Amino acid sequence: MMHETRAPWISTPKRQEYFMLDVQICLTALLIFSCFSYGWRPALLTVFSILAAVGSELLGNALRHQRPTIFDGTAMVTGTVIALLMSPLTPYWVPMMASAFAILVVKIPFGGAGRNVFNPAAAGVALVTQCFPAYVFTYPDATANGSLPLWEIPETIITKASPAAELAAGADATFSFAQVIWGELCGPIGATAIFILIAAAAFLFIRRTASVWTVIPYVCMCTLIAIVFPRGTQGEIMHSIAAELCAGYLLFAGIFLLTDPVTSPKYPPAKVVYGLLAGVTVMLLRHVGRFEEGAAFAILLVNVIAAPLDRGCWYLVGYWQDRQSARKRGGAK
Amino acid sequence: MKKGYRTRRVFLRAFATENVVLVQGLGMCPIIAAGTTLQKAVALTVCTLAVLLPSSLLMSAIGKKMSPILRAPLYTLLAMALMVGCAWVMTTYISPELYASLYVFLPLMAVNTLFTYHAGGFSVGRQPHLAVTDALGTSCGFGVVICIVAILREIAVYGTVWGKALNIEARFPEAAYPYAAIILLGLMAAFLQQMRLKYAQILEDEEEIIRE
Repeated sequence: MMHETRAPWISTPKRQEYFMLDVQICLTALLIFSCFSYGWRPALLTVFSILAAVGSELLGNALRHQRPTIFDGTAMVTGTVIALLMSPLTPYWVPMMASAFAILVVKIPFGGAGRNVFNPAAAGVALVTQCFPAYVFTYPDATANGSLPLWEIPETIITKASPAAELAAGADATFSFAQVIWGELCGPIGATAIFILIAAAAFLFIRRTASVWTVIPYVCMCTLIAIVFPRGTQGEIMHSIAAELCAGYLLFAGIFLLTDPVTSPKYPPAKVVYGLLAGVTVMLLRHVGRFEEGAAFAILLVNVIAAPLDRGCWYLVGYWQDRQSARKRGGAK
Repeated sequence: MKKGYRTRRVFLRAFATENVVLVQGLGMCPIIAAGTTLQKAVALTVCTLAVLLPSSLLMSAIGKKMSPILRAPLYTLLAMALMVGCAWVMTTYISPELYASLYVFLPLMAVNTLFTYHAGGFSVGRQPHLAVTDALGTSCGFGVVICIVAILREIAVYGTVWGKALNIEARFPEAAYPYAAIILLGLMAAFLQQMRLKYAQILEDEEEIIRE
């Protein structure tokens, strides 16, 4: 009897829903942590973003005359990731627009979950970053404001330059170790709780949902570039590393966007090269790019070379096996 | 086979089923860079037709008799000369501002791959009426695509069509960036591909007719 399977057809025995459930658990943990700092606004942002993503998916299904694919969880994860990369002050329509773009332009036309070339969440974030940088990069002070109002944002909200913006302006990123622990950095909703991010990474590694082969080279490359080309004025190596890794959503992108099993390569050597190239691109966009954080653009750029890397790796393995078998035959003579 | 039928098929092929932009991927640079208002789009289309028609006719007449090495310089020089004429007409009689806003993209049209493929490819050695039909179909196919992209972008960026204001308050200035045009072209190409799949059988018959 034939088994009916659903996209994405990934070469692991695990099913799609478990991948998405794991990721959703980690994202929810980050969201809850953020709600402690900013009140209910991040949660409401996430709900709106998810609603837009799921609604767009249903619309896309209707346009393609297929059964609803919202229950595989991919649309929900896309919506959540987009919301977590917004600022807590972002108006609600911005993540909704990003989610709709991600699903209707980047995911559905290519054939839905499992066939998309680009990461939908990264594309959605890239769109709103390009179009509304003022909304995306205006962060409230994490400690001074208390819980944010849900609907009308008053003028009196205290905003603060995020560490990424300080680095981009050539100043020193001023934050302490305690701020990192308590998630008091300025930044996107889900990307400031560094310790929860590390715990989420460990959880995803143990569950084999995210690949170590991608994330570790990515972080290593970012660290290396932070050592060789430090920004800021102090010039201390450790400070430069900590500032670069904790600012913006570099780690978040590495853990949740880069390891997307659909758009990343499948062979470990290709994954290593992919992670290294992603690290170079992210840091390059930070140094010379237009925005303070360009990780979403970097992910889209490296998505393009995932398939060629896989194919190159496949040829390499074939060549090596041919050589091995030739050597064996030579030995037998 | 009727003569008129074949001519019509050649036109439809260049215009729709093998659309010069959406299927062959030629002439995308002016659409992405300059296709931001309807006036620019129409100007580019008319210039394309004015240059492509004589070059195609010339190539259909003498293309077969000369060596392929000489063909390319000949029709490129002809296209450049005609484009100078177009530019002169536009600056003198129509609107110098329009010419200025088209910047470098009007002169660049003269060396577009669109001419290489159609004037220097399809037309060589064909009957003149087929060459003319192909040139017309190519220009119309290019024109329709650039006009759709330009109308959408003009509405999004300026809220106008052909300079006339529509009562639309919402503005989306980022649509003037190249990526908006590339996304639009991608969606249009996907739509055309769906149509092609739907009428695949008719297309196969048509290929046979053209090959005859």
